[in-house]
Amino acid sequence: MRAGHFKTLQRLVNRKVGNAAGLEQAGFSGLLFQPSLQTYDTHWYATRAKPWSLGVQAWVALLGGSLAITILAFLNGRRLGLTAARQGLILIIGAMGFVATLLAAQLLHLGQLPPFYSPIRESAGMEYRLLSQAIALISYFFLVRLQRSDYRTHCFYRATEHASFVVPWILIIALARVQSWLVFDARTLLEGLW
Amino acid sequence: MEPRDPNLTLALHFVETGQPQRALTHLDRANADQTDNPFFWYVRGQALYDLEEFDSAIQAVHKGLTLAPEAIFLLYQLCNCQSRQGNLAAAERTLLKALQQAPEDPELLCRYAILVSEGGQLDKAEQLVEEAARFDPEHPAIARTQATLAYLTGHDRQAAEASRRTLLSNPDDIYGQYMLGVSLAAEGRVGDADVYLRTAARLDPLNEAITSTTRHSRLIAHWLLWPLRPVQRFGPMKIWLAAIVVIFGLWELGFAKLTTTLATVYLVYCVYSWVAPPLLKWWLQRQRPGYR
Repeated sequence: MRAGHFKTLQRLVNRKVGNAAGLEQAGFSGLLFQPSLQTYDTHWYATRAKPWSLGVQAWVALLGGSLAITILAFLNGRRLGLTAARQGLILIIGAMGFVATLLAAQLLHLGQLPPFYSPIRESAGMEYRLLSQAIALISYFFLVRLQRSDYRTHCFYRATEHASFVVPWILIIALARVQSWLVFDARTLLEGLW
Repeated sequence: MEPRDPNLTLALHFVETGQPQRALTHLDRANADQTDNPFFWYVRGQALYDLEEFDSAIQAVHKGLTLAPEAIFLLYQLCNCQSRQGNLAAAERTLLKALQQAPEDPELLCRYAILVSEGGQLDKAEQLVEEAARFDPEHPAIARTQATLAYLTGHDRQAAEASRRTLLSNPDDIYGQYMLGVSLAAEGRVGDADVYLRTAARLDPLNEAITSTTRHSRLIAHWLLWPLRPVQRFGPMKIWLAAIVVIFGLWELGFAKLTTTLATVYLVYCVYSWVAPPLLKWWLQRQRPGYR
């Protein structure tokens, strides 16, 4: 049944040891065969908290907005062990998304964006929500790309289990409120300044 | 190094057929002089590896290495045990020792690629596969490794193509079946994925990674989750965009009631997609003890 796997080992069993001259003389670039896993922290990978699935983050973006998705993506990036540069990019993309939400809300308020009607009820609140969702989903599109390879490596080699949905739901409920408050408070502030 | 003792031959057969416990029984019955044969320790190490007794497997392989310090097959096996223990640093040192002796071996180069990919170094892994392909582009390990790396970097279609290439040369390749299932699942084709993952689980029932992925796939492919196939296939982002376009389009055309109904259906659909999978998993765990 497992002959395929075993053939690999059989080939190595029968393999004649040759070319003892080593890697460099065989024409390999030295860097490729420099040990690169010697600082790999086995303990950290074994004991770290489980990450959240990328699918859940789409709902956080949709319902919680830019602020919620940025914070969840950043926390997830730390759990996945993303490089500092990638974690920084997550924060930059999140900040850009939040600023875009602020601008969109302000432009809506000033009537600078073409009006569209809410199918549920005509209100500026619904228009703001749709724009906020669209911006958060665009942010999610980029944030997921930053996490994807590390997330898949985690799932593929280590575990398929994910962290509980409790934290994403708290982020959705709390940060959607915080974002709305910030957006409308900032608008009042901007109006005062202008 | 070929097995001459009938017990060693039988043990090899049981390892090949996924019966490591029986293999160990026959190894215990083998002649005492077999302990001077590195192949004996190789088979013992493989049986213990299959039983996930990695410390004992490493001890067995080390005994073999004291007899044949440069045996590539023992170094390869030691690397496998060390990487399963999560000790990637030791696994790398072992594999580089093997590569020093056979630097152009595609099998070893691909194993190193997989090892560094496990450590998150996907660029280096891709370079190693390119090196391996330089020596033997048709080697089956290359397509297998390409499939893994394509999946890890998010290129699901390429991963599925590479897995199909693996299966063309060997339809019973467990890893090819597994990778094709995993790539198709990532593409959202959960029904097709389930077929390949079940085949892989049938071919290698001892492999915990394959069986757990197959269990997850069976959950996703459950008939109660059929309504979620569009979300699995296209993702929530595209579904949201489609829903918004349809709802606003109908509103603009003056179908107020239809718009309200569709908006309600979409909301219910969203709630179902959050609630149904964990509830189904909980229900299956209650129904079938041992289901994880």
